[in-house]
Amino acid sequence: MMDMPGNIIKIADYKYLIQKSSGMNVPGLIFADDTLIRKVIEDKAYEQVANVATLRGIQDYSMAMPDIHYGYGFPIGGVAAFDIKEGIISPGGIGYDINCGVRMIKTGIDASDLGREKIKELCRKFYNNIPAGVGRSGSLPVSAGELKEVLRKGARWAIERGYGDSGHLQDIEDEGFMEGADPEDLSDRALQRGKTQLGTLGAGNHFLEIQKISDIYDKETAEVFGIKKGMVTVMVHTGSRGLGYQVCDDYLKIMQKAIKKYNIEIKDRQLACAPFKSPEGQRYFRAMKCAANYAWANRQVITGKIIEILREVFSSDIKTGLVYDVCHNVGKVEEHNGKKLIVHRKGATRSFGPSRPELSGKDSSGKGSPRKDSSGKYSKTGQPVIVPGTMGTSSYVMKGTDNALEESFGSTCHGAGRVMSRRKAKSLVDGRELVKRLDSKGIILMARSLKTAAEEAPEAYKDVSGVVEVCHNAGLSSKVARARPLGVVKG
Amino acid sequence: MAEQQKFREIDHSSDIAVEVYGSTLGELFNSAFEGLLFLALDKGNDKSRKKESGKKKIQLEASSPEELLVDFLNEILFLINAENIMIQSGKVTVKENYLEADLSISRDSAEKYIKQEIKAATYHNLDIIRRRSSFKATVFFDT
Repeated sequence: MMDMPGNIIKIADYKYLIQKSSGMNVPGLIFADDTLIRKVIEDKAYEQVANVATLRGIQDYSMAMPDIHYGYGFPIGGVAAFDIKEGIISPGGIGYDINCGVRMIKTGIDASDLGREKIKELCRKFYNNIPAGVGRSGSLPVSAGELKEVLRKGARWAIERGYGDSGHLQDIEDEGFMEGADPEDLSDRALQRGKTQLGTLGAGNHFLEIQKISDIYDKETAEVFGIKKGMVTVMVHTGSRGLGYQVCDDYLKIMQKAIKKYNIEIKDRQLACAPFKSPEGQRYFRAMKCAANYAWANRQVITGKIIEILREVFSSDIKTGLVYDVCHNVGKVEEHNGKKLIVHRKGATRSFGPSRPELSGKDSSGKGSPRKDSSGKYSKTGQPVIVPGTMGTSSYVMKGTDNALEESFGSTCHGAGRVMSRRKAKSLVDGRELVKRLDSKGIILMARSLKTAAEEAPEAYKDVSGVVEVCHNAGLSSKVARARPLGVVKG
Repeated sequence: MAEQQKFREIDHSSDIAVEVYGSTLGELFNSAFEGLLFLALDKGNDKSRKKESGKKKIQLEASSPEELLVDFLNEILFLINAENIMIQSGKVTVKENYLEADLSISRDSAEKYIKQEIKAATYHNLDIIRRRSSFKATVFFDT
C-alpha cells in the first residue's frame, strides 16, 4: 500500500477525508475505495480538492466522486456547493464544455434482431449523418435570431422543429432548459461559434454508442425507466461545443479582474470566481444557462437524427423514447438542508433521490411549479443516472438516492475517469489494432480519427465497474442496469 | 551549437500540457505559439504551405504576462477552430503586458489539418518563471 499524505485519513468505507489545513474553509471528502484512492494520490488530484476548499462560502466539504482525476483548477469529478448569499460562482468549476452530458435513447428493438450487418449499417448512417470530429461543417446552421431562441428554449427549440417529440422533455434533467438564460450576456464570438455547430458531436471523449441492455440489477426500477434485458439503446455524449468553450473563456477573463475587485484569494488562477450575487457572477450564471440550453438543444437535434435513422433502417413505427438525459458539467441553484446553494458539478452527475420535490412535479417549496421533472414518475425511484463507460467496456443506468442528498449534495460519478494521459495512450495504443481488438469482442468502431480513438482506448480509463460499485456501495447512486456496447461512432 | 529546445509536451492525466522556454519573454511567447501549432495542427502535408496567401495581425493587452499568454493562445485557437484559418507561422513581439503577432496564413481551411480539438488554454498553475537569462512556463490545455 502506498503512503498516504499525512492530511488524508480514511474515515469510513469509501470515504477519505482531507483534513482542514491553512486556508481551507472546509475539509475535503473523496469517495473512493482502497484501489481508486491510490490513483487519486498518484496524480495529486487531492491537492485540487483541497484548493477548492479554500473558496469563499463553500459548504460542508469540497467533494470528489470516485471517478476523480487531475483536472485544471477544479478536479474532474468535483462537487462544490456555495451559499448563494456569501459564496462564489466559478466558471472553472463548471468547465469549458458547459452541460457536457449523456443521454440514453431506448428503442423497441431487441438486440437478438440486430445482426452484425445491421449494427454496421447503423454505425455507418450515424457516422455519415451526424457530424463528428473537430471543426464545424455539416451542422444545422441557424440564424442569429434562431440561435437566441435556442439559447432561451434549449431542447424545446429542437422539438418544435421536429427533432424528437415533446414526450422527451419529461426525461431530461430540468426538462431540457434552464430558466433565466439571457443571450445578451454572450459575446459576439460565443454567438458566432454557436451558429454553426448545432447538431454536431465534436471530438475528444464524445461519442455515439449502440448498446444492448445486458444486465438488470433492479427490475422494478428498470420497469419505471422503461428498459429491459436485451433492449437496444443508443447513448449520446456531447455538450455545448465551441459556444460553451467561448463562454467559459470569456468569463474566466472577467473573473481574473473580479478576484481583485472583490479581494478574493485563490490558490490557482483557474479557480477565478466572483461572488454569486455580484453583477459578474450573475452575468456568468445567465451566460452559463444559455450554453447549458444550447447543449440540450444539441443533444436533442442529434436524437432526432438518430430516431430518423432507426426508422429508416427498421420501421417507421418503431418505438423510441429517452431513458434520461443528465448533465455532468454545470452549476445549479438547489436547496439543501434548507439553504439555497449554487452547486458546481464538474465531471459529476446529479443523483436526486425520491424525496426531492423536483421529482414530484413540485418546486422546492413543495407548492408545485410549472417545472415537472419527469411528471412525478421518478418520485418513487429517484432520478435515472446515466454513467457512460469506455468503448470496450460497459455503461450503467443507476438511480439517484436520498442518501446522496445527505452525503454529496445529491451527486454521483459521471463516468470512468481517466488514468492515462492522451499522449501516453496514443503511444501505447495503435488505432487500427484497437478497431480489430474491439471487433473481436463484437464491437464495431467507426472513428473519424484513429488517433483520437486510440486516446480514448479502454486502458486510458479506470474500470467503470469499479467506480460504479463504489457509488453503489457508498449509496451515492444505486445500480439499475448495465449496457454493453455493440457499435461506437467517434469523432 | 544545438538549438535550444523551445517546448516539450508533458503528461497530464485528463488533458494536454506543454512546457515552454525562452531566453526572453518574447521568445517564450513564440515557443508557446509554436507548441500550440504543433499540438493543434497537422502540418506534415506541405501542400497547404504553398498556398500561403496572407497575413494577419493580432494586438492584445492584458493585466499580466500570464493573462496575456492565455489570451494570445486562445486567440490562436479561436482563429483555427472558429474562423477556420490555417496558420502557417508567425512572429510574436511582447512588451510586458502588450503583444503584437504577425501571422502568415493560408487560404486553405484549418479544419482539414486539425490534429486534435483543443478547447482552450487554461490558467491552471500558470506562472511565468523568470530566471536571470531564461523564462519558463507550463500551459495546460483543455481537450
